[in-house]
Amino acid sequence: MGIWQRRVMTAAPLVFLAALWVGLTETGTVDPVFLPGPAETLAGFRKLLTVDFLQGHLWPSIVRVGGAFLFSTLVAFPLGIMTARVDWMARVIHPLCGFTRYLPVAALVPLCILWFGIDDLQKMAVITIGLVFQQVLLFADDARTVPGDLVEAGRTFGLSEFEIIRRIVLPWAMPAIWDDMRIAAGWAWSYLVLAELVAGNKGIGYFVIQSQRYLETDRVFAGILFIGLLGLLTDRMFKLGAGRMFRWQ
Amino acid sequence: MAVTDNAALRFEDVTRVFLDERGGSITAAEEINLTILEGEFISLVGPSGCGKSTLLRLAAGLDSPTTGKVWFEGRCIEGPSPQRGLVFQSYNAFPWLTVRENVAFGLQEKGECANGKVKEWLEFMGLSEFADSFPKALSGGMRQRLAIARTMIVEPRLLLLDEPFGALDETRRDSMQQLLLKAVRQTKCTVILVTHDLRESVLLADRVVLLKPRPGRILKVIDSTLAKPRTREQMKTPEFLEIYELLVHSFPA
Repeated sequence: MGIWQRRVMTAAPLVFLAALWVGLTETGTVDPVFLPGPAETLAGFRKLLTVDFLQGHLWPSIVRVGGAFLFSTLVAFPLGIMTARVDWMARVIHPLCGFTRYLPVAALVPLCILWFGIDDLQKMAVITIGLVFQQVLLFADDARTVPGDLVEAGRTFGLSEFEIIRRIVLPWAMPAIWDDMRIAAGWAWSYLVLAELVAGNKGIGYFVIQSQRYLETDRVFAGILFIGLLGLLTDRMFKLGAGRMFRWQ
Repeated sequence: MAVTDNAALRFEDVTRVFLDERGGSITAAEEINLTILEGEFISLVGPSGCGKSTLLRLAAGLDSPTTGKVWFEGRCIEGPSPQRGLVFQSYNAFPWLTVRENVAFGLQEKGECANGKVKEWLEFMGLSEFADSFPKALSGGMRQRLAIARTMIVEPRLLLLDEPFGALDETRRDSMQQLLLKAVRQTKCTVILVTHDLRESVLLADRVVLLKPRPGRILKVIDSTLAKPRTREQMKTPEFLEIYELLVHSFPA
């Protein structure tokens, strides 16, 4: 396949969707209450760029995602590494995480409301529950990929188990761990919106559900677009970080 | 048992049995008795499965015998130690460290003195130009030199080499052998070399230990009495050929 053919293949579905969107909305086939057109969505998006929205909804969401993601990662990191390196830890952690990570997070939202109320703590609890068990297992798998002969080389230099983790296991596993953090950051946004849709009085998810209640569909679209862009931005930041930190790869 | 004063390493009735998943067992080494003197250069040769690498890992302390004991300088080996350096068959550099950082990895000391040593070894192994490159940029031969430098910089009293030149082409192997002999002369360490190249084993070693597989046992120990320093030219002498022929004829079918 030539380069142009491949480009056409990549672009075709997007062009088709865009054309469908424009076609359905601009011709008035679909009521803008159900599906606002590109122009209305863009206008809605512009309207979001106000202090009220950015401070009242965006910032709280960022704090919740950031806080819960950091907390979850800080808990999962040492647990994951120890699960990979210490026999009895693996015995304790594997059944525990194996069970809890299959519990649907959505089903735990009511419990979180009961336990933590409807404010920041509840949002962060939902995100943390969604992330931490997965992260422990992912980090453990990453740490387990370290080649045996690198660990043995470290042992022949007389390194202790702690030094082997610090000087060999972590540097080896860091690129994979970093990539798993990037993926988990994406989940964090999904769980945040889930938690905010159900209860609360601020945040992007709350903004989207409120707009839907008042049939301000352009604002719903703009809100969703905003979440997508924030996710993309987070992703880019992780990728940029990886490019700088792991030049050896 | 009388202990020879200048013994560096001693295998005493060493047997190592590995169990496989189906409950069977493989005797990689059986009743090995071997004393290696300080400053001696030993080659271990034999068909695959004869336990050469097992003996090397036992000496490194990465594995322990099922029965018997391995002694190093009068003490029973209980684990790895920087005094017993192992160069792995796999050229395993740490990929996240530069060549310079790899060489410095095992050094306890930091600062000027360490930097000087690193510089010396980089120069000795012809790696100075690549000091700040990552291992992925190196050729196979350079990676092997890096692995040797990383092991020898901590000045181990016993150097263990697991088929170090197996993957190098003929001409590179020659220069690597000479480089190794030079490094060994400088540090005066005891050496055990595992190789499948019989000529190499005779050319480099003081004694060649021939093993046989299933179970891994010592078949014969042959002295290599060639004059030192050893050079490639000696491989044409009748003396070399005599030892080499003896080794070939003793080699298990």
